Amino acid sequence: MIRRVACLVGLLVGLGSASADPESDRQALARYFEQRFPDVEVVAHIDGAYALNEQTREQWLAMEDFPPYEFSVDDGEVLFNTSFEDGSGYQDCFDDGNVKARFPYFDLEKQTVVTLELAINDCRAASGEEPLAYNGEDIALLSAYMAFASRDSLIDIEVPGEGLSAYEAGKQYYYSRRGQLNFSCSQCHMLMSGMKLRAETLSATIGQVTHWPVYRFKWQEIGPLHRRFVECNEQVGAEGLDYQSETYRNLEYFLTYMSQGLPLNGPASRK
Amino acid sequence: MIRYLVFSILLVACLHALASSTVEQGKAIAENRNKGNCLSCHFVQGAEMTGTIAPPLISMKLRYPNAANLRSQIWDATAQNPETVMPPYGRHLILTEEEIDQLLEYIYSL
Amino acid sequence: MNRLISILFLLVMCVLAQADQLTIGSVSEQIRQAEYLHEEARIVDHGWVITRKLIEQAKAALADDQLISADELSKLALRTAQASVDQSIRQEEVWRARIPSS
Repeated sequence: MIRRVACLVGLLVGLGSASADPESDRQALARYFEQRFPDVEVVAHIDGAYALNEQTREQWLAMEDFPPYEFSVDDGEVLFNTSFEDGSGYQDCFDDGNVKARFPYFDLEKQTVVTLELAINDCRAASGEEPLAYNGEDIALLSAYMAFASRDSLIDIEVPGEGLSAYEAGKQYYYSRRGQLNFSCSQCHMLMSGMKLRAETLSATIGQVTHWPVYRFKWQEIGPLHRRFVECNEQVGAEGLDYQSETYRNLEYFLTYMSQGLPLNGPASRK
Repeated sequence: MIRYLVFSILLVACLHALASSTVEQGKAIAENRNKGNCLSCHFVQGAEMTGTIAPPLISMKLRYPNAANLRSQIWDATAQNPETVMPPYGRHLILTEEEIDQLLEYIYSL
Repeated sequence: MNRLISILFLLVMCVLAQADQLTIGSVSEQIRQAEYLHEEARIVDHGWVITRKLIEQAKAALADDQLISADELSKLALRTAQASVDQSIRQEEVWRARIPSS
């Protein structure tokens, strides 16, 4: 009897997770964009809107000849190689910094999504160092260096059974209308992707997380992905959330899985 | 008689000016990024840098013979099509009722 | 004549009494309600920028003894806060339909 119940429960859990299987979500989304943009390979979306607009792409490529994030990478490298007071350092946590492809991950012990930024502060805490502010410069520089050290690695994250609800929460966030203007992330970056909002081409969901942190000309500095989330939120009249809030980490988790297998190409420059 | 004629002409001119000022106010709302921001998504004749997301705003009288239908489309487009990306300008209080009336005058003139 | 004056007096008192219903207490209560609804939307990540702005403006108007303006602003805040809560409830029902089918 117990075995039969266990079997039934197993079956139900199996059915439940089948509807929330990240890999089939990712494949369906890739097909969506392949059909929408037959001439654009999925991997090309790592360049965001520049994959969808030839004209702006050329201007952008010219800009990348003298990448505006170059000094940030250099400064980040210095920070990365500076030891903590107890003599240990970031290398003890992240080797040579080429670790971004495995982030974010679901921490089974903490039962939460751990992004690279969170891991940087965990690393510091383990050596008794104060945490860095998530909206500060140092964390952006460090992650810029680590993104650079991780270039061309393919995104390779996992969603274990216990991480499914975090993944689902991020997915729900992406597909829900928000703000006074009533847009969901998906409506702008799927339904309207490739179209122009005034003069700006809207990027596709796939590839949205591969190139962070980004030097944004609008910001005149390098900034993290969660800063862009705040900006997107505010553009539709929704209140932005705190950087590294649980909701934003879940959203990053979902979006990163949607880019699973794509090469990292951060940091990058954007208008 | 002449006095009457002058008066009539003045009256007509006044009414016309009043109507066109409403159209002008509506145009300003359509262009304002914090108000209608219609051009972000809709093409409008004569405007620069308009979006390509939604149908062009042309021959509106032909497309909406009944002004009330156009007004309710602006007020809450999701009532007709729940998945539309057009913001519900009235239902979400993005514009006041007066602003929607002015916007309607302008769009109806296109 | 005296009767006319007393009727006028009563009328004026009536109008004043009507206006009196708008008290600091009643307007602050309205602001508190808007804050409560706004918080309800915020905890499910559906807070709107406009609601926060309107609440701040209403509070500033109240502090400045601008009762009528504080009343109008907080009424608007209540409406946008309610709309944001409605949005969160509606989206809970419909978001799944936007996922591309596999």
